[in-house]
Amino acid sequence: MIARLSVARGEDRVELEVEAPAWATVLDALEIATSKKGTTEARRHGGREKEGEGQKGKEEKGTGRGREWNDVDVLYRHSCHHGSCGVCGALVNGRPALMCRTPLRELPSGVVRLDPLPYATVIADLAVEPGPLFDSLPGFGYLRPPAREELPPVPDPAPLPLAPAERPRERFEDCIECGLCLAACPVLVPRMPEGSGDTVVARRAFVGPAALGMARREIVKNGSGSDAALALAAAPDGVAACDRAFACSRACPRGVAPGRLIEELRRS
Amino acid sequence: MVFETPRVDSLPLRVAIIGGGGTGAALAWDLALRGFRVALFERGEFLSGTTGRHHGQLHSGARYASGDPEIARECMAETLALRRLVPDAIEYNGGLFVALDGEEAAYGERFAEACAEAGIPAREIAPARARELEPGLSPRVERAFLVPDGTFDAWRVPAAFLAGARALGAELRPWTEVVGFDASEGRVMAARVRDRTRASEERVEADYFVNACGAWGASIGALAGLEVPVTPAAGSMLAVKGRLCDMVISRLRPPGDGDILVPQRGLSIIGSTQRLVETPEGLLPTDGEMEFLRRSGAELAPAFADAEVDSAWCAARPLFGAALDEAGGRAASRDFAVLDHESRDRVAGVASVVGGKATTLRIMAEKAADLVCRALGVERQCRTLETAPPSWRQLYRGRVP
Repeated sequence: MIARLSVARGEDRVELEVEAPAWATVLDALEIATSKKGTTEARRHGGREKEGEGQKGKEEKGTGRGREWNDVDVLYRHSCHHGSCGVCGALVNGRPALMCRTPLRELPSGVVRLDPLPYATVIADLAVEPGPLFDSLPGFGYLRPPAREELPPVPDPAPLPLAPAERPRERFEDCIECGLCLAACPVLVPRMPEGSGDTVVARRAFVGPAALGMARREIVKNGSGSDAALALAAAPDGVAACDRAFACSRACPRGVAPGRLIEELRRS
Repeated sequence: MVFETPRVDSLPLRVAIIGGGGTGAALAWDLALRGFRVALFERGEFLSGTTGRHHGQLHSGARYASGDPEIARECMAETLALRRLVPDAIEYNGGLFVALDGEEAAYGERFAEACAEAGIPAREIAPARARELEPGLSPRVERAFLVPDGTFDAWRVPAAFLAGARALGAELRPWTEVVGFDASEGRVMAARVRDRTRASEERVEADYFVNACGAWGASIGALAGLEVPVTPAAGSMLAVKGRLCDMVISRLRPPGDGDILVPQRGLSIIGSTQRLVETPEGLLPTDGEMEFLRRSGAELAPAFADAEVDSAWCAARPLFGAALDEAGGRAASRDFAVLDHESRDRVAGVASVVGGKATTLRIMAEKAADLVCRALGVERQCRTLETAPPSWRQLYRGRVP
């Protein structure tokens, strides 16, 4: 199929057209379009490549030559391509989504509009600094119980216990720390009229659904020994700042349902 | 666990790492701990090449024991090390090697001996016991061995190393592509890098350069006129929804295609295939590979056949060696090497890390950093075995562009 993508570049947009398999995701299409081969047609807007072209024609000194530039150099974050790392979030047709978990065929036909996640500072194009997300997250552990046993110090060659099958299984928490819940939250990112040019400013201080969801998980895992989690929930920017819109639960690509976890915190 | 920034005895030497994947990340951490001034250049976001796409099997080495005992030993040692250093990024539930036919069952003897020789504690259990431990397993299991495999988060482990390097002052630059090198009198003096956020170029001088570009290593080497023996191979993977097992399930046979089932959060991933490719760019699985993987997954866990597909993707493996066998490079070693281009090509001040695998990222970095020390006449010991990095969350905390 032919995928058509419209990618934000500041105030401008870059249009990409690319041949992709029928099952391909938005991320697949973007990657094909921006790798060396594969772009069937690309129209350029904005200024960056023009400067780049200046470099392209320049006589190179030294011992080598750079790879050929793509017609379009689009910046976007990606890593695992299977919804595990949480890196490739973007607004797909205005809704927060992981690009790697958004098949093209599940979108309305026509141009797919891609914009950077609104809670974070844009580096360029779709690439953002996810600092605000990670700043909001507490330092709680990441594995579900059981707690890990102490391991032997380095010089001790004693192997790990062979049959962990005999103990309860370890499992990663479902939250992949992708930040889609922050991008969807109407407290953190109030909806602005299209083209209003207004800067997005949080309506009030709110630690956000990801952190509160983690606090709830921590209390479930570690029960009464979770003072830090309880304090996080009870702070003025904790559960009290939540509007109960549940946009976070709808946006979560891993079914964590932070909105429900926040409700559980309220009741606990 | 609170991370305390380790004390470092600083050296007035600058090392530039090219490539922000698993190898580059672990190398930045290692060199920073030894006291070097580190600069790392990655053309995209960190871990956007091969490392992050890993299915997540933390290898005990059992997979390689009969073919390559040295790699097997190395995997076992690194599994122990990583589990101690980054426990929050590892599910340590063990692994099962299972025979589904007579030929595979007969391989069991050789497998058990090889594991014993490589120091990997493998223990045979009854097929019925294996199915008790993993009810999703095929009823056709004829033999089963427990091994100390695990699952790791292929993004969070290297991200923790990057976070540690930055905490020690390393200059980490994503979105920055190396486009050339300047050499003088047989020595690489500087790299020319292009900042993709501004399309501007600059010249970066360093006392030493390390090419840690994995499957992209040959093209980066070519920029310095070096022949780097890396062949990219496309490895496709298929994930279905539902966690069909907690342990990593492998076929009891020599390493091949579609023979590992890895649980990852709410997914089950079957890995992988292998085909040689000309470029590591923009790889996708083929329809044939996806069908093959679907069948292979169902052989290990029957529910795989009807489970909803979650995702299909492809990673570029960096195979060590330029000329590989016709069987898609499966006979190629998964070993790694640190190439000193001064002795190989009479170009000083640069080395390449080639080959390797995600489980061995720390030891790959250790060997590369050892070479940097020798080349620059510095005696500094590796500290990554006894120094835990901070949380991966630290990589982006407090960051404003």
